[in-house]
Amino acid sequence: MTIRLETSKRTGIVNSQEREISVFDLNWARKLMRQFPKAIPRTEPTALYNCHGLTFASRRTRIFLSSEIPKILNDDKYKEIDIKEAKGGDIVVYFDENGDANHSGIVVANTEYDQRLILPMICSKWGNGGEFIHGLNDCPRIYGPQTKFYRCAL
Amino acid sequence: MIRLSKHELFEMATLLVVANTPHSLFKGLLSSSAVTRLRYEEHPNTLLSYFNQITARAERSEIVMGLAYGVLIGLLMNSRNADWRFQPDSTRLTWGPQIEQHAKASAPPTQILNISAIPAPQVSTSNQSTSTLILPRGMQGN
Repeated sequence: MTIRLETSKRTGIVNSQEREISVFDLNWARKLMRQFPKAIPRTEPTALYNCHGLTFASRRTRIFLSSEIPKILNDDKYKEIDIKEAKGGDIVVYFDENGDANHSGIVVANTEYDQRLILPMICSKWGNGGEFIHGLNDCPRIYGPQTKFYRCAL
Repeated sequence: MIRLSKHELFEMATLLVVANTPHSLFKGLLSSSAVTRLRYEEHPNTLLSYFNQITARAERSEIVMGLAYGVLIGLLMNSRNADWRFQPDSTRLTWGPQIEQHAKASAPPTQILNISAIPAPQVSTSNQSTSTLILPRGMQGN
């Protein structure tokens, strides 16, 4: 089922609300916690929204076409920022080698260690799984490998 | 006869669950060992009939759906289906049309393009030398 979803410039965003969570999803979510012991689970698995739905649609629906992401970034005046500048509330978008936005999340904290190591903590949703608070690269390998940080300047 | 291990089936189902976009599902499945085997070891005709069979099932668990997407990619990117003679009905799967689009966009070109020989440019030379040839010391005449 599709809901009415628009950018700030009233451009429609393709979306869909999905089915109920299955037993497989629940079992897989439990396995995920073992695979990523440092990631902190925040919510139970749900199929209603995906990562882009969390980042750009307030958890109401799934934005499953990556071609919608540049449209949102542009219309909602997201400006790319350096990883060092990222603060809680900024967003991160994971891209593959072809520029496909395959994952996204919200920055919850950014810590710099010894002025060398920067470790942003992200809140993101992993497919049909739940939301996790995790290190930038402590997530399934299908996401990324490139990351870009953005701040909304509306 | 398509034989996939339990691990391979689980891998495909996991990719289906974790993928946020059709393109990331396509990329993930394409790099999986199961789809690689389907692409190079199975005949497109076998894959097509298998795809039709599994997508006609009422049961649509993640294992079945992961397998269906895997077979779809295995068929579209099959080494013996470069001209897409064996065309599946990708609309049977939610992300099928997008997956098909990505597969066709990323498949290697199959047409042979004949480039006619370009005539070499005519170069005119004159017998008169325009620059002095400097020979190495040992070769210089007396």
